[in-house]
Amino acid sequence: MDVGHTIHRPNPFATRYVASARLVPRDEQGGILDLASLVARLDALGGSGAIVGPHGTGKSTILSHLGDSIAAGKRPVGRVRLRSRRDIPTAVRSVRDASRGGLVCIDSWELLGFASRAVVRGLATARGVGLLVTSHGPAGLPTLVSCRGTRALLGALVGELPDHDQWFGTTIVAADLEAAIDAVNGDVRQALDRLYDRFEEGRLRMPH
Amino acid sequence: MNAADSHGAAHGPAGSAPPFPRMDLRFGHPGRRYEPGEWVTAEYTIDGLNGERPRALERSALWYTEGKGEEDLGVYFFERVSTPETIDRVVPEGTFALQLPPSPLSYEGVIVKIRWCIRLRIFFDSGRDHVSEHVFTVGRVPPSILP
Amino acid sequence: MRLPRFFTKKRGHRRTDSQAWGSFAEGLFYALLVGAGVVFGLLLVTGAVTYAPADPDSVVLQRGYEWWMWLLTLLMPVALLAFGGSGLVRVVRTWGKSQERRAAASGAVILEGIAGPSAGVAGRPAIPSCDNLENSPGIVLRYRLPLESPENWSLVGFGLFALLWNAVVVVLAVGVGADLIGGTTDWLLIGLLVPFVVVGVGGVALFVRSVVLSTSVGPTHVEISDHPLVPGRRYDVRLGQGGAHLFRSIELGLELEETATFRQGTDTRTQRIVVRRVPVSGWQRVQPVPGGIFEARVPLTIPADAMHSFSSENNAVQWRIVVRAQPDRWPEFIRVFPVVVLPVTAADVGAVPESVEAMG
Repeated sequence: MDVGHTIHRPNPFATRYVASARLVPRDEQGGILDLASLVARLDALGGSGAIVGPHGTGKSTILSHLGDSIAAGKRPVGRVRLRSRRDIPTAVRSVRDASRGGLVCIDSWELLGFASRAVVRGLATARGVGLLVTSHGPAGLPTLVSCRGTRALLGALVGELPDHDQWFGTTIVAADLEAAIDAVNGDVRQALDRLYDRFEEGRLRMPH
Repeated sequence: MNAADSHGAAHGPAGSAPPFPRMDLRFGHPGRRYEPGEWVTAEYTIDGLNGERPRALERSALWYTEGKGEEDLGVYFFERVSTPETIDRVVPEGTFALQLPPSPLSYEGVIVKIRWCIRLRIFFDSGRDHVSEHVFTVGRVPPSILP
Repeated sequence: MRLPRFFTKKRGHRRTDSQAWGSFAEGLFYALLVGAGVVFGLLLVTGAVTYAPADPDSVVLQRGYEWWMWLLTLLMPVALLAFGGSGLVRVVRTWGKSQERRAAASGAVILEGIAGPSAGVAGRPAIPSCDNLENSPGIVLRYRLPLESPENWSLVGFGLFALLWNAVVVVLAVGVGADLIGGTTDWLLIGLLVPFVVVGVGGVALFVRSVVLSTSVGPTHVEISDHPLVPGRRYDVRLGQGGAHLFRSIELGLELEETATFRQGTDTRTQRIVVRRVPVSGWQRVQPVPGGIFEARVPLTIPADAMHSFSSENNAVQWRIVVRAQPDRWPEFIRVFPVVVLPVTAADVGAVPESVEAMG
């Protein structure tokens, strides 16, 4: 039995390629965000800010890259990814242990309840630590970026996936992108998930 | 050695730094396909160092998952060479061999895929690093398709 | 009639106390259910009879509920009585009888192999443990496989929901009844009561349907001649299906399921997909012997090219034996029995190799 074709058939929509840290941060028109100007804007806002937008619109991607960019400027950056309320103590500890003048990035700020947010904000102020958070709604912090999922953003993200030229137009076509983003009401993350399935279906039809 | 093997993709910080080196790896088995328990031998070359001094080289063999879920991985073999005396023995070329474990086998599923690879990661004195990944197949499990 | 069991394996390592104590505890549980049904029913009846008479000195003989309200009110205690009563009967009937004796009574008398220490999957990275699959000896074959079924927990969920929701309904209904008896009509409260009653009736109907379905279709047992499984090898599988009714069809098959969990911020999604189905055997118009079970023993060959079972933190590839049955007057049900399949070269490779070499 020859299984040579199984050696490596990556699906470009696999988590490995579409994880937040892998994608380039973009605005809703699909343009690459100028991280340096965002860093400057964060400073102008007093060192703390929120990346706000609905589910699956690129908040975590921006947070990840902005965190990298700020860390590259030698400012200490701590990162917390909240998955449930059990992670709240981790967030509090991160702010408590952060160096003065540092920044703590908190993904999914809304998971902190009203009281926890007040504690974290108070602690950050007392310790001179900045907060950069992602949130689905008003976060009680100045808004640094507002995110929105669009067809243009999805198209730009898809364009940067591995071997794009080899499968776009054949296994995945422009209409698939339209259908995916329309079906999930602008949730780019879910649209990428749908395109994964579409790619799997599509390549079954392609000669190996 | 099989001449049809690949070189890895470049990973590393973007910027105006010197171009990344090219890391080619050739497997000792035609088609890069191995059976569990079999020995994998590989020969690699690193070109384009442009006089930059490597600080360390990491060589690893691992499996990872690819698909709709979070990426899981299991490192089966890892070696870091970082002393000035030994780095010249592994850069710019070297070979290594390892005996594969019985599992997991390579798998081309629908939402879960399992891949084996050899990774070479080179670190420079400047602080930047570059990794190349070379996928090979373990076992002969046919791809799954939706029933 | 079978009663739902929430822990389907009762032998092997899991039961270490005496069988008598186990039966006593089971009987006590059902007796408590009967008791709860009686108390609940009495409270409802007496509460309704003596409820808020205009004259406290007189006895109210004309009850304030319509017949359908009575039916609704009594559903819960009747369900508890039926559930607990039939359980008590079953416990009494099987008291002091061993599993083997009961099996002999149903025709399964040959003991084949005694479950010994498993070969296990030590030294095979990323292959799930077999411990939980091999701690229960079969009656006929070597292992009895555990059932992976959420249906009984759904039953508990439906029951709790119906109970709590209807408690609220009763409180509201009492308020409305008090008003009506007092000669006032609170239309707002009545308007609020109507949708509550509709949902409450729906909850009770779902619960009763689940109870009846669970008790009517009977237990499903699957035993296997060896475990873990190896691609290309043949095994014997014994299927036992209880139930008092005709089954239009019963199908036994092997399935390969992939599971992937994705986490992004607050978003955690787990997707499952069956990527391979291998039919093993099927039967049409099956009528279990009254009081007994339908039994069949069939060969099962693991495909030679089968992927092995795999498990990591966020991803899994799992094999399972699946029984699909279509009772005559009930919806189809599916019962799943996980198994572990080893890599195809399991016979050729042993533990983790000793050496890893690196040369400069």
